[in-house]
Amino acid sequence: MPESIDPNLFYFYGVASPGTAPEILEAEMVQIISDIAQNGVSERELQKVKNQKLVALYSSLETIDGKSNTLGTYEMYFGDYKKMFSAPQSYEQLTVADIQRVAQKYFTKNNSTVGYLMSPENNTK
Amino acid sequence: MKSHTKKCYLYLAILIIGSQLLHAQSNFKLPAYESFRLDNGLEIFMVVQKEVPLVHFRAVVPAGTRRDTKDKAGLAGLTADALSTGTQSFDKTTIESQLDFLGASYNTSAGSEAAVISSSFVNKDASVVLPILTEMIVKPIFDLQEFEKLQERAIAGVDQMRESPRGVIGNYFNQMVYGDHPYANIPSGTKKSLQQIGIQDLKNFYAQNYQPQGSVLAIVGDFDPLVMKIQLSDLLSSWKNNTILAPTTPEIKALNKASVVVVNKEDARETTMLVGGIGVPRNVSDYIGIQVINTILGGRFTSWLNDELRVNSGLTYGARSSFSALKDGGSFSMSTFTANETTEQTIDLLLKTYQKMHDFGIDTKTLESAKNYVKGQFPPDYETNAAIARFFTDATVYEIPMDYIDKFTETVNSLDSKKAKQIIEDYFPKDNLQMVFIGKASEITPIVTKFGPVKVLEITEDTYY
Repeated sequence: MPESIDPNLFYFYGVASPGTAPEILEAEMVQIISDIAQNGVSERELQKVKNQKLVALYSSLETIDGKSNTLGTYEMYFGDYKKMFSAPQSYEQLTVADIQRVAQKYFTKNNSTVGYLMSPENNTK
Repeated sequence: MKSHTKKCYLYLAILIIGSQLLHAQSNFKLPAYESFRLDNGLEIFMVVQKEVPLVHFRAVVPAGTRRDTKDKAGLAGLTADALSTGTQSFDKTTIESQLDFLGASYNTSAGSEAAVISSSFVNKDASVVLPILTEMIVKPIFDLQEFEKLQERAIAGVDQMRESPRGVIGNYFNQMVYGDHPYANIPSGTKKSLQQIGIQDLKNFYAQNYQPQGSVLAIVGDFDPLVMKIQLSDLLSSWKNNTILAPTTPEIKALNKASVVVVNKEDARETTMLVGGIGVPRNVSDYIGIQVINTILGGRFTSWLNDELRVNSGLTYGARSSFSALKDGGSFSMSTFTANETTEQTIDLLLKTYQKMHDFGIDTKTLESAKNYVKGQFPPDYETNAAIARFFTDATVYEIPMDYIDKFTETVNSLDSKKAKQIIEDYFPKDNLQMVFIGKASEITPIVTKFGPVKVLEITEDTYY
């Protein structure tokens, strides 16, 4: 999901292995996405992502370039550079219920557009 | 009158601030560190950096690709890769899921000189991450199934690498420059050499080359050094030395003739070229001066090579030069690429630009500009925990003096035209240049016979000489 000021898109990509029809890959992906909306994610899965996001934030702050970029990003896209300093707390406050609620709101069939990029020799349609 | 005085004070204040900033820059220093040695000989550096709650771990073992043999090239790389695929207490899945869950990144790989085991993690997770990392070094198990996967991937990687001239050109060049010295070893191996490697080879290579004596660990970040010292000592003191002596290596021989290799890539639209010779070991006393001169020749966007070949003539998108400096010695090379039909024009202009530096030296203005450039680039090179850890392990592996960082600015400042001239003469190879061209051989070969005896190879062949 790109950072942007106006509403943007949430992208899911998959590359079909040789011999796998794109429809099968799509069905599998939709299944996984719907599962998040229907059943949510586990506490451990959420904690893992929180851990990874936090490391990414800290790593970005190791350089002067990263500091300026991260501060600018919080000011520009999240409304206030000060939010960068409370990001660790903000991550910690997220619950599995939040994830499920957001998935249910946005990951709906009506909201989605699916495209296939086919190599010419596989494109028999 | 009064307001005028005020203004003067203001200017004075600005001048003082300005000079303090300059002062700060000239005093860029190696961070404070603590070092100690375990009874088994392992050297450990600890550097406390409190800015973010992360820790970087970097262990370096003298088990690089220089320890490979030609018939089993790629063994050092496979052995290093296999370290993270299972240890006595942690299988591969456990290693991956534990470290992934904590957001810890880790990598095991082999460079020319040494194998590196590195990781970044959050400081509060040290007691979980450190046992895993240290077991990778001290107690890997070399699981057969995991080895076979790595081997298969490495063999597939050779094919992939051969599709890109820039991915392989250095391998050809190293054969020409290093000859019998193991720096000529092909880091990733050939398909044939990789196929000859079995799991027992990894176990033997590990037993021979992975030991605490000669290894070094740098740990940098936000931690309590007292606690860290105890943790590391507990985890690494059981690591044993073997009695096998390090192999003796032949000297890097002086090159007594120019030579040219043309590597045919039948479908090529462009020629990729590399020209150079023997360079310097990393701990050469003039290393910093060499870097300044190389910046002028081909180390920055406004370098002479890039200016001539890209900006002024439009023959390429980029031309550069660099020194690859290792422990026993190194290489110097200039590289660029161009369309098939401008191959001759490009190599001629590259050599002419290089010759100009030898004939006329460097004017003061350009020298000053390059000095400022390298000084400006220097502090950001040591911003991250990983970069600082790397300095300490490099300093040990390459025998770089510990005052390298502290003296950098002073050394750059002391470089004048006379010294620059001396450096060009002493370290930038003038004669007997070695050249590699990758492209359409039928078009390139007639052009390059003027430079020396030409050997033609095929890029698809599984060999480099």
